Amino acid sequence: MSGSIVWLAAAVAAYWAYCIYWGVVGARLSHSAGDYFLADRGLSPWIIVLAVTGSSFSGWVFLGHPALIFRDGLQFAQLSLAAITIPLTGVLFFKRQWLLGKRFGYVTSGEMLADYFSSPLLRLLVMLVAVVFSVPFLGMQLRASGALMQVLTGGAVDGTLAMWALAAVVFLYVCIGGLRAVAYVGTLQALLMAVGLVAIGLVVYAKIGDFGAFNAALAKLGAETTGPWGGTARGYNAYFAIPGVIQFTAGLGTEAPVGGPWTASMILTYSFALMGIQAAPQFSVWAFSSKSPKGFAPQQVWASAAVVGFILLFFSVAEGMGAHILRGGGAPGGLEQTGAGGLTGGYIRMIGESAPWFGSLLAVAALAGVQIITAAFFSTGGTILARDLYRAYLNPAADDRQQKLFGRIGVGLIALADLLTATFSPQVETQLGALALGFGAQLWLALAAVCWFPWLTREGVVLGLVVGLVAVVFTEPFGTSLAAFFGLDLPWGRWPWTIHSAGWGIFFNVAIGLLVSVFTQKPEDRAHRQGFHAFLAEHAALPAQKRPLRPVAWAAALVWLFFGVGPDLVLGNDVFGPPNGGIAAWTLGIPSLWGWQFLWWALGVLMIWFLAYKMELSVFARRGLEFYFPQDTRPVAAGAAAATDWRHWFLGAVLLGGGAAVLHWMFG
Amino acid sequence: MATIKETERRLAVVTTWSLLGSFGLGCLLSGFHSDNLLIGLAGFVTLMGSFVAHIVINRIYGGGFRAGEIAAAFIAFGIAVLGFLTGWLFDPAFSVTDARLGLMGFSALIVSFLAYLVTKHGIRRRFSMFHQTHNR
Repeated sequence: MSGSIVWLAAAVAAYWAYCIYWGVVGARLSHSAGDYFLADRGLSPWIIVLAVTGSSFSGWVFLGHPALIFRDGLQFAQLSLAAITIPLTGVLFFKRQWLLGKRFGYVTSGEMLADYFSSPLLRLLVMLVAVVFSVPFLGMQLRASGALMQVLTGGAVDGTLAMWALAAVVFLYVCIGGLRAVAYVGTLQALLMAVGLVAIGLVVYAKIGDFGAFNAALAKLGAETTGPWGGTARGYNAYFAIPGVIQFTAGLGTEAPVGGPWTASMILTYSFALMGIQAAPQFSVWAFSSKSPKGFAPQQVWASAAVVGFILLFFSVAEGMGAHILRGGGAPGGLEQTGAGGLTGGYIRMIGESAPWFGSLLAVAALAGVQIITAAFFSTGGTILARDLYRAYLNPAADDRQQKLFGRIGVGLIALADLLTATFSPQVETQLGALALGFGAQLWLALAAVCWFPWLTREGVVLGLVVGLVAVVFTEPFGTSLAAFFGLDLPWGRWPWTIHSAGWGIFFNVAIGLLVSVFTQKPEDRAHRQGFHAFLAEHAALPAQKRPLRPVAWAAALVWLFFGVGPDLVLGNDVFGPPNGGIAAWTLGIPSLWGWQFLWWALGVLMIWFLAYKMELSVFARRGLEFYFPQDTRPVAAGAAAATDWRHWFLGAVLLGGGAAVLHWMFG
Repeated sequence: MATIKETERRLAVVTTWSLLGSFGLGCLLSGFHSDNLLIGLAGFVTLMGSFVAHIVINRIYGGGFRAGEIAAAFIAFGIAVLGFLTGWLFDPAFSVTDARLGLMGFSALIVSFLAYLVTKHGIRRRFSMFHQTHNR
């Protein structure tokens, strides 16, 4: 057994011991269901900062982001600004959800939405979104972690076996320790991820020479038109330019866009999809579990926007683009691979050859990145099944012990479903997993209704959500397969018009939601919803002296969206010098698009800071505000009646039948 | 049963030492292995950073180092010094750079520890502690 593998085994074993230790600690501190599901709503701000940041970015950032930069160039690197757009969801919704959770005792967003809209159907739809996140999306993450282990051990460890072993450890500490264990382990996982990305980036810069040499090499690359997407319509190397504002192509798999898929419209709508991460039901659980809102603003502004944004722009770009430069210099073969974990795995192997201890730590960092979101979604998925299915419909009188037990069973079911789909049906899992981000984004309107807009009605939000989910499905490969199953040949492929499925979903969601809300206003429902908003207005409204800043806030956000991730980002292609003009033509000494990304990253941090702090969207600026609110102890109104209402049994039967059909289709 | 506050303090300490301690230790090993003074000193600096972070955590959560932490630190330091001396005396590949690295690094750790004691207890009280022990 080589030295590298011994070091890897030792590092992974130490990491597993660390995880299980905190799982045991979490179990000892979990007395009630509230302890287990929400850490007794007592997670300290610093833990929230690290755990939420880590689970927002996770394996996507560590494994996928550099690999896609390598494949598609700086046009994909524009999505580094997701470090700004992802916390934007948190800025708008976290504090207000926290307030509602404290006031009404919500444990899941399904409970919150069902109570607010008096709609059990909405609870089920939210559960559907949660399941899509929990099963196929997580299955993809688990498969990536197994594949990474296989790459790092040079094939000595089978990827599937590694995946099961890694998932077993995550299951163990999540199942026994609950959310507290997830949060505690998440602190180290988030830090490891950040340090790992920085370390790999530094190694890349060191191997190339220095920052100047890196840009000189990029200038040479920019003068050619190599790469899978060739050149853009303006003749720039697609690695260095956004291929237009929008391209009215039929979609990937049917008609390829010219110069690459990452047009401005794709970047904007993909940003919507990424914003869906913090709109996912699982993230509401983080909001509810926080001791106070003190951690929200630092998480959104400093941890996500500032630190993660800089790391993605400076180090992940080096990792992705640096692979082109290093390959030309005869780098080890691992850098040829660009599949999930391939590029990063190649770097880690390369580093491990000269410093096995370093390679093993980076391997653990990569694992940590994947597992932080896996653990979070295992735990919160189990919570959602326990509260929104078991307690709401099967056993409304469930006590703490029963809820905890079912929560643990839920974690086990999710873990097993993930592993079975990842092992036996990876293609279907990939298709379903691709729906997750788009699905999460569809909850934006519902959350906006609860937190901001009382005039959005139940009928509007539910119909909008359903239509939005359908639109997401039929602009992804899963929808194409589904249509083909029914004999329909869709004339479009994936992401038609270079608009991500999340964008299509949100368009129809908002359109239908607004239209239907206009025609379904009912005074009694409005009065019920207004009660929630009166509470929010009392405790979270902007002080009168700051209200003149509202237009400034809107303008700042819209301008940033327009230029940072929207139509005008094409200006960045050559505003600081043409990409094929050589380094002498580059005003900033770096590719124009990269400079544009840095500029709008800095402005984005300012914008998020303004919204979170100055506009008080994430802080309580007034001193003396009590954080204790009298709990609303009324039982969940639907619970007692749910078990005897024939409609719920019918819906349950439909869902079970649908689930059985899907399983039969997946596994034969 | 440990309180939540004490548990979170322990979490902060363990997380800090796990992260910085592992990278610091790795840099140390690399420094000794490849006779690289810079990398080795970076390892020692990282370990000192862990120590400083630990002090900050103590300040935030209140209280000082716990008995178990002090014991673990002295044991780890002792093992490290023993390993260094053993390598110096018996390892033919042990170079001048390695010796320099070890001496500088361990000296820096001792100085930082003494600086902490002086800062926390003051010079007179620090020496008074020894006088009181001696006069007993």
